Amino acid sequence: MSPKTLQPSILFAIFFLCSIIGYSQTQPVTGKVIDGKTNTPLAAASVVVKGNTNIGTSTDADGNFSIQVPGNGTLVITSTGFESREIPINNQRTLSVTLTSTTSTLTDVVVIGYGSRQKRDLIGSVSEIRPRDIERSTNLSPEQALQGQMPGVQITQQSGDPNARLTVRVRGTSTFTGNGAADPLYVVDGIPIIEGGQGITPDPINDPTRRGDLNIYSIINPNDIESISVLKDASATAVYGIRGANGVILITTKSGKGGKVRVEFNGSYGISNVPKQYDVLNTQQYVDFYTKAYNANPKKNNDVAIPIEEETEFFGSRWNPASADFIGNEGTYDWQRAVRKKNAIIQDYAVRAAGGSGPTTYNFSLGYSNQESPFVGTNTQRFTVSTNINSKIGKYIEVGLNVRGVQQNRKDQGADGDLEVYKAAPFQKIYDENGINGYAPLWRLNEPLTPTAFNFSPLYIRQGVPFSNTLAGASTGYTKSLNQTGLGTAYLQINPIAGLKIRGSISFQQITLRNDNYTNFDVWYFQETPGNPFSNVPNPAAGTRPIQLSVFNSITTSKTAALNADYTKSFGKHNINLTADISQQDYVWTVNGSNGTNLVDDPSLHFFSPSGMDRAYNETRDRYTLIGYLGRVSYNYDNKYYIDGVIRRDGTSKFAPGHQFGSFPSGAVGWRISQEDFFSDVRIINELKLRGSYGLLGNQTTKGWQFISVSGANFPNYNLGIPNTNQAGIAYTNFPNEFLSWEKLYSLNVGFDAQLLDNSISVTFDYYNKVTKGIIQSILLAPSSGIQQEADLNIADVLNRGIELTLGYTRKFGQVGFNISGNITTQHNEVLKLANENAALRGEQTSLEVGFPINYFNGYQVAGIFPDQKAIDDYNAVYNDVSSAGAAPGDLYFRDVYGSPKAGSTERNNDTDSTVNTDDQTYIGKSIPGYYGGVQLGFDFKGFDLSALFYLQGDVQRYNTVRAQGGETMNGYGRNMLTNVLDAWTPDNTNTSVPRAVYADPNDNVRFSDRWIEDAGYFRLQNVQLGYNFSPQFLARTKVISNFRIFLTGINLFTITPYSGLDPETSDFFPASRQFLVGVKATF
Amino acid sequence: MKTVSFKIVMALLLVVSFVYLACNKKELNVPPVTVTELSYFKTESEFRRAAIGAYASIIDYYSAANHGGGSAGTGGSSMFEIWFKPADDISTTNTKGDVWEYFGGLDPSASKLDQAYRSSYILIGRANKVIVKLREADPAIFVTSGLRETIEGEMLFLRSFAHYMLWNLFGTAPVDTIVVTSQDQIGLPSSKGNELLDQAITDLTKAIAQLPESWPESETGRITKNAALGLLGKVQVFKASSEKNPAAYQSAVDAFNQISGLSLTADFYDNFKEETENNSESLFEFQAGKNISGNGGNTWLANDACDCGTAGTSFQMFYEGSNGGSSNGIWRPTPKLISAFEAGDPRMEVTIDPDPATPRKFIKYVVGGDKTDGSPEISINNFRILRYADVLLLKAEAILKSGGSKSDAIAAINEVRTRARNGGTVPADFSTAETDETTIMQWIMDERLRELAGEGQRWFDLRRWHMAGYITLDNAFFGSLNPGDMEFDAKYLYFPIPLTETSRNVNIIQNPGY
Repeated sequence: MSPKTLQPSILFAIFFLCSIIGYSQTQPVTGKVIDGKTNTPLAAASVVVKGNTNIGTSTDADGNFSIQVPGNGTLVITSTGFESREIPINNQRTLSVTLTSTTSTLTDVVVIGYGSRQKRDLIGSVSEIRPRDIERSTNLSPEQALQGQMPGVQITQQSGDPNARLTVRVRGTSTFTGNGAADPLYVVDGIPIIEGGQGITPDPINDPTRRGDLNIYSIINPNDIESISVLKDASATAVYGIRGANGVILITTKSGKGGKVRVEFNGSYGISNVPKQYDVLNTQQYVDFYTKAYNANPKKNNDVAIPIEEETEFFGSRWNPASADFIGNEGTYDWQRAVRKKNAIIQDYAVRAAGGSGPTTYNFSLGYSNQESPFVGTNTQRFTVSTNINSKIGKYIEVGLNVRGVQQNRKDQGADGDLEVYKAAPFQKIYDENGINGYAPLWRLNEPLTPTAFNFSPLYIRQGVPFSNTLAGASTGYTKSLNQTGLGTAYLQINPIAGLKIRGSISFQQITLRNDNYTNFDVWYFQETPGNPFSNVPNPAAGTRPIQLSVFNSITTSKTAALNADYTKSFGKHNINLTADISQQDYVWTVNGSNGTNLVDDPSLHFFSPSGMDRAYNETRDRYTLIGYLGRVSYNYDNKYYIDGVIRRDGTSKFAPGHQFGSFPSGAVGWRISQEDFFSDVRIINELKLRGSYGLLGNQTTKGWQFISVSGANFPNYNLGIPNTNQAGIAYTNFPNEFLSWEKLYSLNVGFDAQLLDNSISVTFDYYNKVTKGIIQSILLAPSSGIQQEADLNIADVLNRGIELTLGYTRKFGQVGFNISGNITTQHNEVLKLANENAALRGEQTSLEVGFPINYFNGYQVAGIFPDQKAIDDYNAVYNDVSSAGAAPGDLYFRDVYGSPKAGSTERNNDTDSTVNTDDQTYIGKSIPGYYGGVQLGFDFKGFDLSALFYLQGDVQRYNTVRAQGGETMNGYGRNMLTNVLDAWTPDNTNTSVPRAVYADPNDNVRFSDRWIEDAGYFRLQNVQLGYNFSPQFLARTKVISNFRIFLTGINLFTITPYSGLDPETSDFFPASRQFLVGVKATF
Repeated sequence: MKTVSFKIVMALLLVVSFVYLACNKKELNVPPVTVTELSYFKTESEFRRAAIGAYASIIDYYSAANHGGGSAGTGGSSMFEIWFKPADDISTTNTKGDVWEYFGGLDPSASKLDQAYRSSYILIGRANKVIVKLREADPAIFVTSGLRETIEGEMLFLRSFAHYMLWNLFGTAPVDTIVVTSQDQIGLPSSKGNELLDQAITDLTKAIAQLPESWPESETGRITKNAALGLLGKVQVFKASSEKNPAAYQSAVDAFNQISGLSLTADFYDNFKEETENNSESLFEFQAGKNISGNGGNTWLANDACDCGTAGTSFQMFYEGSNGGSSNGIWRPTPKLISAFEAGDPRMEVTIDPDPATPRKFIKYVVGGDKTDGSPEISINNFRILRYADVLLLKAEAILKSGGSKSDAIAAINEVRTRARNGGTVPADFSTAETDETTIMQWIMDERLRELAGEGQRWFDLRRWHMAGYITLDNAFFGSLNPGDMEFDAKYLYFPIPLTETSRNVNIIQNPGY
């Protein structure tokens, strides 16, 4: 748009304005809006004049409004969750309006990218949740609330830690998953949030955790959220163009609605715990088991068995039942019990004041939450503040400011690995009143302590000092994280003519994250494999006890400038909405860190300057700029035939000049059949809309500068001269791929929305088919290219397809209201193409292969357990298992599935070769669920309401880390094991799947096989809430409180799953916690 | 109308900022956050530094670092095993199944092949980049007279050396003289015939004119004119023998004749001591030093000093610790080598451990001359890649086979033998009256075995002599510890092109038989 083209519209605006001035004959009208169901005043309902949305207000806490309107006008009164009403004024001065709550949600306004739509007019695929659904979740991060509540959005909690990042996948996994490349875009109040370090492989040497421990999306307090919309199909997400391919999560925060100030208080307080732990051997079982396993295959010297632990002078006799210090005489210490808190306190409070005065509306909020981890030593505190103010200056100009600040502190002094302590030998002591900080050490230090003579001897078993005393370790150090984030937007909007809004805005975002890690000298006593703490201290003073410090600071800043125009107009039955937007977002990320040794241990000086003496420093940066142009036309005829067209043009600095701009078009059509005349006879169906969309989206998540030849991080050096002198060299060894481009996603969606039987049943169905082309694969090129580094090429293709179905039923039985809704999503994920002629990349849990889902499990198949020597002989007569150094009855045997691949090919060879080797690793499961969904139930009776949310997923497998990596394996000794091993095969116990107990695992029973892959489908009662709303009549007597609700919530109450671990969703060592809360919600 | 004009002002203001944003596409020219090639190669010293980067690639051939098919770095894991062990002078194992000794089962997936292959092209790639940049650079930036030509000469030499190694190992690997800038340039075709050697000849011929006679002491280790002449002659001999081409032999003689100022050291053993590196006999050495920065000064990391994998804890071959062992066992002289020495040849006792204990160890580079440094211990003794004794013997062969004076040829052998006896009597001179070509050729071959034992020359010699028809490689010839286990076949003259190349490059033709 240029000044020239805008000119006519300005003239038009002037004309239009004059006509309004000419015709306006206004009068004051006051009124009250009542909720028809509860007969209570309805606050924050919107009251506008039909045809002139510039004149409007909203109701105050008592449902009252007053407005200056033309006497012959019509008022439109709307409120979320209620049927809107149009009241002709007919020169009345006072009005009483009763709104009935919608059984149909068709008139709800749904936030879409760059605008909003009434639900009935929505033809893209967008799911939305509102505060009352968001409030169900206690997670610091708002996305958790989406779990189970909308189709097409898969939320996976990686850990029960309140700080843990959630994995969010919208309609499948559309690209390879490293470094956040498959994460959706988050947009908060119109501003895309950019997280530092996304798409970049962290420096493996200097700092593997630069993205930080904190989940940055927890910067948004869920209490501040008005709605979360998830954009899923092309027509909805194309407005975000090059960042839309993984879906978009739009978070809209609350703002003031005008009227008298309304103060809202939300508070909840509860407890959180991990109710389950692993069943492990007690000391007697432990000794018995290991003795048996060792005797089955003792370590030998010239064919003479060495007694277990013979080399350790202190414990040679400890395995001997006859000796006084026999381990079996010791007690059992429950390590898991020791790291679990009985009840961790979680609390959350928020206060919000919103209202308006004259042309200004405002909203202020303050939030505090404190979540203790269900494991000892860790807690997270968050403070949030937000302000938004909007004000009209005159009739045509509106300005606003939206500012948000967060401080999040986390202190982690917890036991590393949490439930991983199950591995600690059961006789290993936890506490010792004479030990440092009251904990039992693992080592005895042989004084005198000097850096050069650093001698120590074990207090437990030599090889398997069973497990670090992590509880004690926590008392000797900490990790502190501090996240301070500010987001701010200021805008200026003018409304020159009715229906046209032009808005310019500028936004800033700064996320600072500081991580401090401190470990004092004493940690040494408690470590499994201690290193010499003086190793980095060449000449320490006598008596020095060095400490370790590491610090990093990550600062992400981004600035967005945008200009947006939106025009809505109806001509007869033609309704049109035009949107144009242009924006530029600049991003800069800096992370710097130091780690080193400090000689002074003064708690106030846990930083480097005072006495830091040996430290390393590193710094990394990234930056890019994105410019986007957007145009959207939405047209409908008579709210019956819909057509949308979007074109987004994005330019990004991530790619080479000349290859920076791309266009992302999409189109959608909709047909509300139920509006047709011929449909009016269909009584059962109240509403039926068919929808379809197709479009192109992009994903630019990759490390930058791949189009420029840069020097390697490590500089090559060479010696020259006599004497040899090291000479610094440099080499440009990568492949500057000038043609590198964004990944392209072609997305198809068809579906329908329907309402049946007096709107009591709602159905939404979608079929999606998304093909990502040109996924950026980092591959090594043919060596003859001379290119040393992996090159980023647009090569791989991936397909995601599936259906989404949502069904809802609402009905009132007398005074009892009932509703149920359920949704289910299926997803089929398949790699279609890979680099190097589709060469398969097989790893145990990270396999990529054409025809298989991303990251399927590739391992051996267990064929059975050898019942006797004859079976072994028979097997060996045919097969050669290269990983087995000798089988005995009770060992597993594995399938010969394939032969060696043909030369030059990675394709599996179906001609078996009687050799069991890595070629026989095959598909044994997948990590992407085939389906997932949720069921919500709700009842209400008088003031009471009860709701429940169930979540389920299925057709998914999981690698059981605990069983596979120690809990059920027998390749070492020392650590504790799951009681499953008590069922190990013996000649008398043959009906089992657990192989024989044998030290050193000569048959390699532990290999990555389907033995460790378990069905991880589950059905969970995610949360239940019972609430009571005090009656308005009762509250009216207080004169202060207009709304008061108390509620009880239970979270994660039960899970039905075949998975044998503690939780099929979250980490095996930090499962999702169970929580009980009591809460209050009050409005003043 | 006041509001109307205000409105127009506001609208214009917004539109102006709109236009400002819309026009500002150059905002996308965000400066990068690291050193880029575009901003580099602007000064003489930057070119020197890039040249050092190319030199550093030599490390990979001799490094013990294991980078497990490495992504960033490469090389290492004692990849020299792949050209040391197929020969008949040295052996590490009596275990059948070591493909480098017994050949059977050698296939394209062998990771050491990939390392040698990849390392060669990394060296070529770095050299090519400097060559291209030199040609593009503004001549005015070269303040030092002739530096531009000198650096180009060095790069041409390094590229030739890599092509020469590729020819010896793979025979048909692609000739590479380009810098890849677009995806369709990836996928060079296999070379035909002796194209790899021909390219080396072209490059070396050009380099000779540009390289200096010598370097100041502080730059010792850089390529000299003699090095290029020596390698050119050597490449010509290899070409000539493999093609049975007397003209190429003559070209070799011409090249060798231009070498000046070199002489054999008085003591044979000076070629294997750290104290006497870069001596009068030296043409080209790998400069092993203690000061490679970072990683504990470990010389034997891959060239970019990237600690990407398990760094070799020690340089394994020429290391007096751990019994001179390698990962595959102790390096031992073959019975054939032991018997090749005349009784009393002083070279024998500094090549083979005189202690007849089983197993006898190979001690060249180790006894008395090995110098270790750092922790873990590593050898900092230079690898002698090309030395004058080698040149003399090649020259003898070239004179003989080009139809030159047989007595001149014998004189060249005798020069080596004279030095070897170092004032003693054994080995005595060969008779210059001998005229039987086969006999003289046999003398040359035997002398090369004795003189250059364990220096990584032998397999390359055997291979080309077989091609020339001077010898016939059969299992018995190799003299490995268990000759009966040898599974040699003519196809092994060309090692397989690694799978990493064939699976990514459709223009590659695998060598026959794999």
